[in-house]
Amino acid sequence: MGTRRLLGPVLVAALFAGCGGGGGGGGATPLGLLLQALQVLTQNNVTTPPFGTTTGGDTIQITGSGFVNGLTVTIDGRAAAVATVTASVITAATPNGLVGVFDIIVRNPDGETATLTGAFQYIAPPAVVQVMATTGPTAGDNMVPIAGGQTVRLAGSGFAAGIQVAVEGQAVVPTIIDDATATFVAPAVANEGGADITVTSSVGLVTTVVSGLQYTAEFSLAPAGNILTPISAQHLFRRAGFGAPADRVAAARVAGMSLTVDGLLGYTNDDAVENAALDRYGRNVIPGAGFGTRVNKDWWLELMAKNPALFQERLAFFLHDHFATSERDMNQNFRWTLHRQIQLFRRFSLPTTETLADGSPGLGYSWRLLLIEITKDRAMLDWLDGRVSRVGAPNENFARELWELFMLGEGNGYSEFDIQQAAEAFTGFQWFTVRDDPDNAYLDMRYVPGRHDAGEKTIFGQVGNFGYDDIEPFHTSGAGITTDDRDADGGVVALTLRMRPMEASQFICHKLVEFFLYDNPDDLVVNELAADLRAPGVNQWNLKPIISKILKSKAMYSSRSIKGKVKSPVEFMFAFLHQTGIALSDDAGTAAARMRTSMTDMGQTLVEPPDVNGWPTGVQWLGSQSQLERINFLNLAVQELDDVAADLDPLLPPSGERSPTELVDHIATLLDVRLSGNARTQFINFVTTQQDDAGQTVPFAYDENNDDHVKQKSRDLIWLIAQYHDAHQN
Amino acid sequence: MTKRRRSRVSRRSLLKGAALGAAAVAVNPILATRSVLGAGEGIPGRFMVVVNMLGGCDGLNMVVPTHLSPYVDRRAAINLVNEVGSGGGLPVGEVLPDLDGDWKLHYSLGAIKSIWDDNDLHIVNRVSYPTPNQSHFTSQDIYSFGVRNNTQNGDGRGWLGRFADEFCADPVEPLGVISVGLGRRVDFNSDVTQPMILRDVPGFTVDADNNFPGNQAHRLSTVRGMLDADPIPTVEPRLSIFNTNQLAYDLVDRVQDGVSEWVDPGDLSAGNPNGYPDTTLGRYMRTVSQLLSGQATFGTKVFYTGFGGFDNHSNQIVRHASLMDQLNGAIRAFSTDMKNINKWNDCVIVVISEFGRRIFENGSFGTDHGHGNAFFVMGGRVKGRLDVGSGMTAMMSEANLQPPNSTVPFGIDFRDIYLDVIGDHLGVTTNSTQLFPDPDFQPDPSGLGLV
Repeated sequence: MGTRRLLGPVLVAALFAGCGGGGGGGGATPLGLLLQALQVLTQNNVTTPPFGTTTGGDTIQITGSGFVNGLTVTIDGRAAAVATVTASVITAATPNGLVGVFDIIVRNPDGETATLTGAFQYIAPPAVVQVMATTGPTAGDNMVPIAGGQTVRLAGSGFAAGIQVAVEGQAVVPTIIDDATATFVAPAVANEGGADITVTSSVGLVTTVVSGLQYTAEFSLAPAGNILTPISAQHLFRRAGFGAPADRVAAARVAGMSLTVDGLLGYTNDDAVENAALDRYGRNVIPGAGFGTRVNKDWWLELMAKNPALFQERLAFFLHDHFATSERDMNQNFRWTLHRQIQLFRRFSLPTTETLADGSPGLGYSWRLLLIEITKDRAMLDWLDGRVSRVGAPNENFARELWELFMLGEGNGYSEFDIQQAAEAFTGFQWFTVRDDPDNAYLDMRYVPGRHDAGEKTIFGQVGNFGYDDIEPFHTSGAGITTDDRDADGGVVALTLRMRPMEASQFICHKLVEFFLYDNPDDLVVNELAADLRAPGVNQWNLKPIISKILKSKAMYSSRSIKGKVKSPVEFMFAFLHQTGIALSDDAGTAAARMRTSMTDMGQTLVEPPDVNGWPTGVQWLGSQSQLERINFLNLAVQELDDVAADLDPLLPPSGERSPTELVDHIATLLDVRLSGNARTQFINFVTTQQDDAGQTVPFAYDENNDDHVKQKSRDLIWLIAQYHDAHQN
Repeated sequence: MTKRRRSRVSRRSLLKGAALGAAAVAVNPILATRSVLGAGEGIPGRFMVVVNMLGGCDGLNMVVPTHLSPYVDRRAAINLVNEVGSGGGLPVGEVLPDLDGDWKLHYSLGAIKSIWDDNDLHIVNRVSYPTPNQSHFTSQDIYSFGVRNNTQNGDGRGWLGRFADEFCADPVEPLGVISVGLGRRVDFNSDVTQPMILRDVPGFTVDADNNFPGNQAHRLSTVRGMLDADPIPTVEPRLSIFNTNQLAYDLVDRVQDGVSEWVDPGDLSAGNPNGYPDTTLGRYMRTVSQLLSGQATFGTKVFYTGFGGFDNHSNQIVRHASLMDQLNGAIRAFSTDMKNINKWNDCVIVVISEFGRRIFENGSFGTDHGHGNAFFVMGGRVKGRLDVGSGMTAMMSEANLQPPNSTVPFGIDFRDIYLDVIGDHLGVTTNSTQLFPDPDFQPDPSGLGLV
């Protein structure tokens, strides 16, 4: 900023300055030294008195009379560098100084002095000592995504009201927290790289932080490169599956990222696996009475362990958490309906032209269809009291959670009154007993027009006869209903998507980003996806392009995403089981039971979420006891590795390459765990040592050709490495 | 009386830079000079047990205003004044334990009535916080964070995390606050002192490999040696995982050794008259009892536990009765246990829930989400008192009884109850902003009396 400021009005700070006269005491010369005014030629003189910077070097001009060559000018006791002196004008360069208002003292060579009182002030230029994003995926760093939108904090000094901040010349609006702290929202820029931050104080002092922000495209939704590294391939499988065995990771690396994502999202239903799981765990009770609490869990765990369509179970798991329904307190003659709900989630990602093994059709990723299905899902109608909600006695439970937890977010676009009105719309279902088989009298749900409030409701300010969007197939089932009772003005789901498209799209996209990408995403990423989701067209409210975009984005393979989350117990369990291929037991019938017990011990019981809000996330999973249970689960699992040839050979380097170092490095790679140098060394030492009866660590003559040695040590190494903190990150 | 200071000075600012764990705290020179707070803070042996009834307990059917006709009128099917079939929901033959002639307890709360008779029960109605929220999850968050709108007013820590950071951090004592059975709720999020999250003591172990049990000591020493020498991670979530791993291994032996002298009152169903019922809360309270046997070395100030199932939008009578029975049974066993081991005077139990429910029943024989609720505060030093508030009768006036909104209003802030127990019972000198930095919270003693 080399431009000269306009000169302000000359301020006559003092017309007269007394003559000090040293100790002379004798009468001062009447026409001697006199100071009239001061200007700062290098600043804009907008202040009273005029200012220079605390760093010094400003040119001042003092006017007056009686100036004699060789005079000195001091400010706050420090000498200015006098440049020119005429009888009436002095120019000098200011010394550095402290913030404040000071006198100008001129002293002629003969000792005569004059003072211009309070004629000059030092102002500190704004200083920036730290630039840091406080929101978004790079919080804690001075790096921000090129899309901008993150809150950036400047730490330094001199941030008074009136400062202006610009990033690469783009003005931003600063928020002054205090003199030392200001924040602004990072603007979007076109290109990656350093961006200068300029801070201009209210008096025009400018500080430039060269490359104060580093813009990166790493966190954008732009497509990532097609190459999958071992790390990024494992990452993709953990997020879009529950982890994968080494051969699938290797195949994905050959296929490349784009085809791998397409293959994960565009799978075909494996009818054989689905049927086998159902045959083993309770086909005879769906639908049916006396449905125990193990059936749904064991059946689904079996699928999670064995279904090659990893994404099908992964997305069903996401939806189960989102629409969290518990069978814990459900009537045993109705619990079969939760099987149907899980199947709904499993067929959500199937094309509409395909079916599950049980014949139920795919939803083709349609968020709208899924929400409509949920409003009439039997288990949900029971879980959130829809089955007892009737005309004249509406129950608010489902209406509230539909918006708060499933569609919009708490208080985001609806009122308590809207809830009460929507509760009236969601009336009409009830339980009834099916007695086709006297030994199997189970409960089912039916729609009874007389229980439905078909009257006028006012929702989002819209007046109409709102109801369910669709009650297929209930209007033709069991209860003798022959006409379609759909309300004239359509359903609450359609109304919500029509009236609150912004809130609805942002809500589900935020949730998807947090599940697949990283926690605390910046708004711009969410908003970009949300705009896609609600844009009119064939893909409106279709989640497949959204998920695909996330999984193929640069952000997906960014440092913040990879290992950026904490594995939930189910994620921890299946990542380990898929990576190692451990089936927990040769007896398939008890495998699921052991998985079921382990997941419960670790704190996450499928089909029994703690409440309709689903499970905790992130560090909320971490606790002393659940961590011990994870360690104990690993212990349970590694004990299945009994036989070196059958169980361990697939997990270990070839024989002849089983030195302690080779074992540790191979297992760490298999489990996608990066060990510290310390951990690696200690684990290698573990192989060649043991503890004697006195508790002393003594050498152990490890022989890599001794099967018993290999078995003992590799089992323990898997146990040790799989509990390392890196292995708990997802 | 209540020890409180109004102050904005928070220990957090001192601890901020030292959040990496015990080692970092120990060398912090600022902390080393502070002698006011620390592990010795408070009266030794004193403790508080918070029992959270998750889902929003119907306080009006727990502490019943039998004299207020609107309560009866608006709950035609589920009021506990009239019997089933005679305009109410009281099962035939059940009797409500009487408090003061007007207010009575739920018919399953016989043991709690005994505590009332001993003058050891303080009942306070209309508990909530300013501008109550009717979402379970928002309201639970306010109870857990201790502030409304954590992102704006809070610091990510829960109120018990703050408590632990303030009073159990010098030296760091993860057993100062213990979660029993509820996992890591956000209540326990802390910067410095990670409270122990425990489900049960027998499961709090590291299992050996059954085929090679002799290797266990070597495995354990390897893990501990590795954790001790490993570089402390600097980024989340790696840091938190590392800390949790280290803490879990640190605590295994401490917990097992500390409780080795416990005398188990046993299982009620197995014929032990003073045993604990085999229910969720019964098991958790039995675990609290077990942990209390280690009190000499643990120094636990707060146990936090609870149970769920209170969101009774339909068919409330049966479900609510079973939950009240569970509460009553667990409290009976625990209070008996505490009296037998002479800890009843050291104990204050606070029974909470995230909100009360509407005065109206909803037509599904249940109730929808409301505002104020009834809390129980129990213990040997608690002065028996029924504090229903003068506004209760007024609230039941016609003007306030228009469906569907009518609900018990907010009158007493839950944080005032906590602060009174912390100050007057635990003897911990604190101030409201240390634990509850909420601009909407104006501390005001709750009226809880202690003898």
